[in-house]
Amino acid sequence: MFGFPSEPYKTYNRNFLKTVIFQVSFNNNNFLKNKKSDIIDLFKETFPRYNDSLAQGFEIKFKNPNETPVLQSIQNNAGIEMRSNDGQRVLTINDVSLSLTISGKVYKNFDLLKQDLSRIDKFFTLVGINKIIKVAIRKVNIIEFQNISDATGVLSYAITPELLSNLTYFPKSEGIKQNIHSVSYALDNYKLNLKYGLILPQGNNIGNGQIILDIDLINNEESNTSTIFEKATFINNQIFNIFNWAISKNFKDLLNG
Amino acid sequence: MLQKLINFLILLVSFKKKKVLIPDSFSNDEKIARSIFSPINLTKDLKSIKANAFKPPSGLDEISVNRLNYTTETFCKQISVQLQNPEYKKNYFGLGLLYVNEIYESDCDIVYTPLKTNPSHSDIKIGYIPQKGEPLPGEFLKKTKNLANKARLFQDFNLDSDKWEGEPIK
Amino acid sequence: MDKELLLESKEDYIKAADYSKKSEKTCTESSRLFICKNPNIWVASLAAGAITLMPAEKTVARNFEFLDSNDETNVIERLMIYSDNISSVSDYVIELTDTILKTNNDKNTLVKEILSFKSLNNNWDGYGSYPLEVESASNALMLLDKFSEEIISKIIEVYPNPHGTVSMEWENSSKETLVLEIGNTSMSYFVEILGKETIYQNNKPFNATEINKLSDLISII
Repeated sequence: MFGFPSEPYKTYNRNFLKTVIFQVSFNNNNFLKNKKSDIIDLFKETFPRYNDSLAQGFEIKFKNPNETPVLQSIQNNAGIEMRSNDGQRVLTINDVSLSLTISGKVYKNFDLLKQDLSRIDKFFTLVGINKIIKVAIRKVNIIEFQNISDATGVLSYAITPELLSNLTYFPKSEGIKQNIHSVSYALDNYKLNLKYGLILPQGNNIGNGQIILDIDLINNEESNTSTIFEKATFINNQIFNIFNWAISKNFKDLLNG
Repeated sequence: MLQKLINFLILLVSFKKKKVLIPDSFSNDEKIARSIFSPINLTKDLKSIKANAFKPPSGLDEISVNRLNYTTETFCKQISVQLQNPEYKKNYFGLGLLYVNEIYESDCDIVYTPLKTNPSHSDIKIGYIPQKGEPLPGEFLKKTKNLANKARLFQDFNLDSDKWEGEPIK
Repeated sequence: MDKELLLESKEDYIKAADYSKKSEKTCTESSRLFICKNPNIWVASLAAGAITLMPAEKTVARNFEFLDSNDETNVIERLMIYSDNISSVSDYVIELTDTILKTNNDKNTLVKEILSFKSLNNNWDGYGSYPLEVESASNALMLLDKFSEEIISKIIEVYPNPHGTVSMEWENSSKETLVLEIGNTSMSYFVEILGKETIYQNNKPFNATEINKLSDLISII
């Protein structure tokens, strides 16, 4: 699709996933008000810890042109947030989307995600939705390192050198504290946001930091709800191709472990 | 400093002159104010109150508060300013407001304990007397956390003024 | 709003609108901000600036809409659009830190904070309080040493108590909470998890079993 070389899909023995986010969007039909308890019943076996999720914002009201406008904070009930027993998987549902966020600590492969969403077809039937307008998966890989004097060297170990060709062009590259690259594609009905590089968060000890490889692939084509898993599987496979293309051979050996 | 003391005494005398009768009992919707200090009593975002603002000292089950229906924000401020200690991270910030029914809902009690210098003084009781160096049991940690969560924070925007300069406390 | 200013700036806003439509993010939807009636440019700038300065996770305005039902010729649509996609690198780093890494603090910061409580004097709260006890401080530092970095990074508050102990708190976006109080010889805590009864643990010793139990509970928050 984007021209990244295909590789046979497989599950590595190790991963450095921090978070996996799956999201499906649909048109608003205001189901949440009436169907909240039914939705909770549907998913509570897998996600027994549930709560309302709140949207937070503020509102400026102009009562009349001669008066000072009033600024006030607002909190609206924006949906439901449900967590697994171990708190590592979070399902968030509102009137326009359903998102599943899985911590990298428990994510093994795509089958786990499909398992968690095994009741999604019942969800769509319950709320009367038969069309989806977006399917997206985002996988954030983070490699933490400590006590490294040359962070750039660590970056070169994980990311394929062709992606980091500018590193050698900067003088005193051992002094580089942040090196993040951002690439966005838009082709057909797909959008890809690829971010990779190095960050040293504020407040960290010298020599500690993270290498990031963040792949976010979105399909914006309106389709029937029955196509969700087909699309999600395709997206997941594409992300796998992009991941393999981006990482170095050394890193692949490490993942094969 | 001397001027502040004079203002405090003037306020106290005028309060006494009015001879306001303060009942021993509390109504559920009565307003109760607790002095709040920064940064020691405030969360990092300065928008909420930490549980330590509602923990009694060692050897006592008493959290000093004022009955706001029978005093003024300015009077509460005068008292708070006396208690501040900037050298030790304790700068007067404002007041925390609870309603009596919220104190009861947190499974705590409130008793009227007037002082000569503060006729509106009362004490919230959590039902446990802390001992020096010993942690409160979990049940009482929850009570103090509930009180802190329920309390509304009112910031005084001019700490140098003798009068309360935050929003009217409602 | 001044008509000339509107026309002058309209093209920029159209460009901004196109740019924002090109990109989307898959994280949780952010809230909308609607502003009604005639604003003046100063207030509009203030509001727009305030939105821009807010942390990415907390409030992201999708658009501003200024509507004046009385005068259609003065309607301003989409004065400013704040892209949902975090386009700049610094915004991305903020988003990553706030939402994915959730790095509230590191160990050194917490150690310094706990040590700073030792400087509190007697009656530091004006109500007869004690300064932080040496043993309590030592136990708190020992716990920080035993906790994983992830647990440490999720601590939302550390504070001294009037009776000489120190407390730590953890809380997630669902308001599930663990509050721990560390004393001279033992610790107590409670945990509130949705759908379950509150767990109370009182006067637990600082041994490996109890610390592991505590760590496991914190991990699910």
